Amino acid sequence: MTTTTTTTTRPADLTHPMPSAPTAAAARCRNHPELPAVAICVRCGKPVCAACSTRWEGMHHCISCLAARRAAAGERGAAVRTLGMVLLALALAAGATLLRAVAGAAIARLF
Amino acid sequence: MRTVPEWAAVLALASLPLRLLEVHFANRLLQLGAHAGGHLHHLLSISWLVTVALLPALGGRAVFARACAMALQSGSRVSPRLALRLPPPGLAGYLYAAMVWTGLFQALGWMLLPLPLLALGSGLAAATAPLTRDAGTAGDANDAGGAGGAGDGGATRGGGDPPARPGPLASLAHALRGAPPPATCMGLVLTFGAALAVAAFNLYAMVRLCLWLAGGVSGLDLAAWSLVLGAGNRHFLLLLAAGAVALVEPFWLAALVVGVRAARARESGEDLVARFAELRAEEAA
Repeated sequence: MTTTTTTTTRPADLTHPMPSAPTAAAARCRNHPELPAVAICVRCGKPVCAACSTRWEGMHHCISCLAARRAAAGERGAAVRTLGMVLLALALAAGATLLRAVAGAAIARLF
Repeated sequence: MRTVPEWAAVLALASLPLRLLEVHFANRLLQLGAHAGGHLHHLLSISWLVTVALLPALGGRAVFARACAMALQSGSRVSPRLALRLPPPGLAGYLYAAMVWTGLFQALGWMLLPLPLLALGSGLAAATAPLTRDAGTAGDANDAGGAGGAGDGGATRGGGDPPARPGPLASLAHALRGAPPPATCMGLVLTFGAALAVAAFNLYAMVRLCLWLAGGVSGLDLAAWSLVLGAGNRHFLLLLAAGAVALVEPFWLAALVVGVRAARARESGEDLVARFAELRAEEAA
């Protein structure tokens, strides 16, 4: 019950570790109820302990949200790499086209 | 090859415009001879057409290599839906590697000696490309007619594990790592070199036989055709060479896919697992 109150009443703290206010101090880690929460995940708003919290780009994330962000970033990276490879292939194709004509003209003199 | 005849036809059809344009380009070069330098603009326009035709040809090669790898895994025919669903990262990596080999071919092919090496590199780029990466799902394996438990994930191995971070060097290195042993490669090159010559000779003999039948049996006057379809016509000889390449190409690619798969199986111990399962089945019977 306490955790619900914390996440809904303190939206301003989403990007920062929880201050030592009475309500925050009472919050418990969602994964380890025996441990006090030290931060709130910026994505899902769950209170998490020091072990479960990871700071990324200045914001606290719980483990599952961090994995989701990493996966999304990985997919974006793969898409960018794929696009890069296609562009590189097209550039090589243009180079091969020029080379075919120029080298062909040079070699044709031999025959 | 018995399970992928339709994909061999797809490969031949996709490569047909490229072969014809290559013949046209080579013929025009030979016609122009020493004056070719003065007609660079014209040669460049044909060269662009060749490059445009190269893209569907590479697509056909990728689809055929994927179909071969999946048919090897499942032992049955591959559904069109599966074979045509090429994973974009694998296709992009293959396009890049193929273009590198094409560039090398343009730069070094005229020396003739590197031709076998260039053909091998180009074929290996298709055979080792991670084109079967997304074919390992259960649904896909069922569609492919997955043979027993080998269906899921096996197709992934068939195409090889993709490089961890696909990139310009990683894609090329991946092709080299997945290559069969040098002795196997040399054997394949020699075998298919001979096959190419035999195919060209057979095509020529077939054309002459058709001419003889048409002239002798039907009584048609084929003197002009005899000149056009004779060894003295350079254009015809180029077309024969292109036809021989089109005939041999599916077998060449299929052999490389099998070679790559066998090399990977030896490396991963998959061949021993298969042999062990075979022995157990024999024992049970």
